[in-house]
Amino acid sequence: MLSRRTFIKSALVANAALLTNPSQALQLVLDNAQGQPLLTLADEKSPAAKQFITHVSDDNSSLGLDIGVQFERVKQFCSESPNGLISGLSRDSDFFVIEQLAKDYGFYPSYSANHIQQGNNLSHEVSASQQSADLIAHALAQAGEQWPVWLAHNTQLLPQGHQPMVASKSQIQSTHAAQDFLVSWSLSAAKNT
Amino acid sequence: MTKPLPQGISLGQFNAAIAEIKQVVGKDYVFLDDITELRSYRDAYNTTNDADFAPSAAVAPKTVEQIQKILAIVNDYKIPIWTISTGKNFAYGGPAPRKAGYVVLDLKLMNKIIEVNEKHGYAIVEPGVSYYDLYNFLQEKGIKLWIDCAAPAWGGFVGNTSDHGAGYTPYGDHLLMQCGMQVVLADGTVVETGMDTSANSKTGALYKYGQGAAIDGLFTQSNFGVITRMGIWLMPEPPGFTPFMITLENERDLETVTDLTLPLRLNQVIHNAPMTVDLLWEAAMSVSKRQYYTGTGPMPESNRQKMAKDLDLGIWNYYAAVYGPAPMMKNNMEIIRDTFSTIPGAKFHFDKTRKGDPGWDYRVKLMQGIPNMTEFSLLNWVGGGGHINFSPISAADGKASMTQYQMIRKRAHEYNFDYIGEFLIGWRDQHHIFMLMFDRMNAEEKKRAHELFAVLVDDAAALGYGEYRTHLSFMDQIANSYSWNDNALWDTHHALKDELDPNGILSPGKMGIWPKHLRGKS
Ligand SMILES: Cc1cc2nc3c(=O)[nH]c(=O)nc-3n(C[C@H](O)[C@H](O)[C@H](O)COP(=O)(O)OP(=O)(O)OC[C@H]3O[C@@H](n4cnc5c(N)ncnc54)[C@H](O)[C@@H]3O)c2cc1C
Repeated sequence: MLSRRTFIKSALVANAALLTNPSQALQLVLDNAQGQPLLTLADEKSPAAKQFITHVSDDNSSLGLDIGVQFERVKQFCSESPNGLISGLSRDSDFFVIEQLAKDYGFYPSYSANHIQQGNNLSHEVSASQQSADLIAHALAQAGEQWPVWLAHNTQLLPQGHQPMVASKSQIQSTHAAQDFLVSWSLSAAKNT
Repeated sequence: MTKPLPQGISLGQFNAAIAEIKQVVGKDYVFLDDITELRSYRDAYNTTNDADFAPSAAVAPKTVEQIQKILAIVNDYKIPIWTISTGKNFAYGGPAPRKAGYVVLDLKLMNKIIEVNEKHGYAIVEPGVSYYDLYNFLQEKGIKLWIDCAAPAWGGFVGNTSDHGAGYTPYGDHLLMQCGMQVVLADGTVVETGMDTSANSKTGALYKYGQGAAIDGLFTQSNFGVITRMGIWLMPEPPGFTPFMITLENERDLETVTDLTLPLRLNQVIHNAPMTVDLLWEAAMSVSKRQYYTGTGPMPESNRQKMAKDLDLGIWNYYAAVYGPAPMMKNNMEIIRDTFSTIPGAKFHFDKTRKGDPGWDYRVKLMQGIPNMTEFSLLNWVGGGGHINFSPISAADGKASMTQYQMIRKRAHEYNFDYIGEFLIGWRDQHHIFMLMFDRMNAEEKKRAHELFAVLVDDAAALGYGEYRTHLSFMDQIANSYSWNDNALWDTHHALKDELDPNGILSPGKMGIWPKHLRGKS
């Protein structure tokens, strides 16, 4: 089982300080407390993403339909915070675009997971390093309906290296039925690893 | 994974060439790491394997002189390079090269806006200038000119125009609005086209042709040179803008709406390229497929109807706009209303009633050249959405629209995919974009999508339709369909290729144009 402590070995959790720009409807968390700047993005519509972001910070704003609105902020973050971490829980298309954009600044995914709910069936398909993929998939399943909260608490503890990724899947029965597809992800700079 | 290398090049030769290239641009601008750096140059939407298009390296020069030196080196070693500008050609191959092992020549760092002329309405830009870049520049300086952008605004003028891309204002035919370019040939010669070639010319971005053959087009969708600068015409901000949408209830309305559009378009009553967009494309902006249908295969008609009703969408949704002074817009809108109101069930929508609808909002932005990335939302229709575009041209003619639509839809359903498409009515033609969407994590679905695409190319060719642009995987197949008179056109391309690039170093295989030593071998 993946405990928070397992990850604490490789990184420290930091309290998030929130900076938001309401005009851009962005959930932005910049946390320099433990030396690693963090930018977190979350979808504005999905209840799971809302749950996630409220546990990353107390405030609530989010990613709208136009991911382009975030470009300047992501570029600036990448340029100014080469040791930073960009993470999110978003629609797949937003992850796709942010991933492509961040690559130009040397930031690459070190972790991603598809969270797919089909009726009562909730599955987590994790891509991460060999050492962590199974652990994360298991921990997400263990967290049950609170998986977004687990993610929020562990964002900075997710793997940050750039080793080849492997896949691992877990599945649970949820008490409520829904149709949803979200992706959680984290990107960090390759030069940092 | 073993390092992909250019065909016929040993690791030793490759390393030697890379060492020389590093001397030219500096080591920070040569990218070699397959796991990190070179992932920027993959096509995440390909329907085969990443390895088929994995580059061996990428290099990002900053000046024309550096490009000349790089070309000299790759000519020496006979290493193929693949030129990109902003490198966002997703649906047609993204930044990836035609074959594994090429070195990507990435011009993103050549991103100067060289000139903007408000009076004459043009800009001259380098290849790395994105739509956002020029838009922001115009906004900051208060210059009252509009850009015309492709739906995803992270692309740019040079790359998109090079691939014959299109946008949504009256300046939407990008190659038509291009005027003057600078190109580096394979041997390092720098050529300026049109008027720019006369001494002290001030008219390079005003008049396209100069004297002699107009050759700008030769450098687009080809591999005869590296474009390093381009003039583009920009539309003066009009005094007014009226976008509108018409929802249409029946499948067959596609035929009528197309036929009714042509005279309005030819006579410039409608100023931009109208789009007839199918239900799923529009719906996918706000909902995902699984919210309306959890079965496999294409969405059944009853679910489609429910979704159309819920979202107040038509089976077809027609967008266009008029631009200009108020009396002129009023006049044109009256003609437009009279014309389309003849279609039973046609319903007009305007900003007043439609604002806030995701589909409406981003299309209105595009029709006035405001860059955005909203169209990527479509890709959430299926989980992990990827797509390649099948893009045949037809006449702007109702029957042709229906023929293409029915042909593609039938095939798509046979292969268990939804038809997601739109028709963009140009000056006299139509671009039909069938967005062949698949789950990019699902190998079986990708394979099926690949097979469907290949069948569509043949089906379309049999009916006399050719595609305006295509994905890396299908360039050769489509080139073979442009074969009239014993392949005379491709023989001409190849004659030019042999003359201009005898070592075949520039983007071999782009659009099916191959250097002599690789011809017929792909
Ligand atoms: C959701 C979605 C919506 C899209 N909508 C549109 C749309 O509305 N309109 C549209 O046109 N496209 C559209 N596309 C396709 C594509 O994304 C755009 O055309 C995009 O602008 C192309 O990328 P780019 O501008 O970065 O060009 P690049 O990727 O830089 O270049 C495209 C190609 O042109 C050639 N080229 C580039 N630079 C040079 C050079 N300097 N010299 C010689 N050859 C060169 C190369 O072969 C290259 O592969 C869409 C794609 C997606 C995924």
